[in-house]
Amino acid sequence: MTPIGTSPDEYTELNLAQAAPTPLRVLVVDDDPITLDILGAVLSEAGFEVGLHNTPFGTAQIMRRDRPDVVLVDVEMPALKGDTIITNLRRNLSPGDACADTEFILYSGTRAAELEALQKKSGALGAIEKSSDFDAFLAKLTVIMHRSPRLAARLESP
Amino acid sequence: MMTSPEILAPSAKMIGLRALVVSDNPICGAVVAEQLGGWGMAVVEAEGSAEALVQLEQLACEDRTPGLIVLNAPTSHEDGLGLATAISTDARYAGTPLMMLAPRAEVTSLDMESAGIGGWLPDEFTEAQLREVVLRIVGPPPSRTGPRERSARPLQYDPEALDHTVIAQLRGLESPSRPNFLRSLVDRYIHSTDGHMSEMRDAVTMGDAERLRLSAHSFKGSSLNLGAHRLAAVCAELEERGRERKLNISTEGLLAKAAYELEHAKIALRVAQDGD
Repeated sequence: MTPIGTSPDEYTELNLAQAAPTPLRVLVVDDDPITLDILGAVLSEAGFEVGLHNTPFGTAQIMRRDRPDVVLVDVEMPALKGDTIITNLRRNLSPGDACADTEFILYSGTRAAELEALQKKSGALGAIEKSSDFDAFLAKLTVIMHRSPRLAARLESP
Repeated sequence: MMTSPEILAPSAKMIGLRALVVSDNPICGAVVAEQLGGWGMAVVEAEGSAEALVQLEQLACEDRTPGLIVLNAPTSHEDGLGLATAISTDARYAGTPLMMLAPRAEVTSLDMESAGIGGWLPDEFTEAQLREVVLRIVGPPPSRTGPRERSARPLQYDPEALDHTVIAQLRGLESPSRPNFLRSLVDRYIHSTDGHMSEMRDAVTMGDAERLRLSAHSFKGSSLNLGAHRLAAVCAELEERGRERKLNISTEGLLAKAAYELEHAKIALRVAQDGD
């Protein structure tokens, strides 16, 4: 992964642009660098192409450039909650944008009921409670992705 | 306040007994501390509940839990019953005798019993009365080889501080492209913990419930990532306090508990980092 950023403490790593087109592309947006590293490793091992971004700011720009299939958004980040981030991103992306059909999935240690409410409010494809059980996380992610015919088709394709 | 200059001999139960005297007014506290010290007790003083919790945390880490805690003339619910409840419900101080001197007027004996206080004296009391209550609530004389007499020593490795299935999963993610993945995560986590603790402490000190909720939520997530499940559970309680806007003395007790669990987690993570 190639680190990019405007300051030494900015944690922005991406590998989407260089990746082959076949695997699903997942962009993870979370302010916790350890979570980013773990999710990056887990998703990469599972065969996804992964991008990591440690702040909600600049996400639209990265989406336009790297065209992720799915954006996994942490709910509790400083300044912005996940549902607000999704609303803002949708506002900033025009129908003509290549990433306009990107799906959003909320990801957080927030209580399940609250997470579900935020998912409905934001129109996210699904929500996943943070867990240290990586297999359970991947299973849940796959189930949610199958809610989208486009993603399901990609998952089923050889 | 104590009223008579009686000279009473110390009891064997008192000699060497470690006592924490908590007082909002340091002068009043010093009078009580001097009396207990005169009976051969090893007295530590704390000014107010926050300092008391810090002292208790330090003493617990050094395996020097007090044999008696005296709450002297508390000026608020938080510094009296709140502190007593926080102490008596903390497993580390289970069975430690608690006494209250000069409780506030509205506090009943039932309130004190419910908070785990085993003995109390009204605003005016004599040295003889103080001695009688102390002797009634403290246990047998401290043993020379008992836990209260052991010298200070660091915390021991507690494998249950970590969920080792998480550590195994993280280790399983190591590959030629991620050769020291677990080591790197542990280093970064431990490096980040001082900041997390400071953020939560500052939030409680400033009475900022939302800041506590967010900081505890963040620390909970980081800790779960590394399998520090006991610490994460305390963070979850702190997050809930922030959500419910309940920042009181028991919240400070939870902070002390978080600091304690953090030390255990750090030791266990260092052991895990070296391959269990």
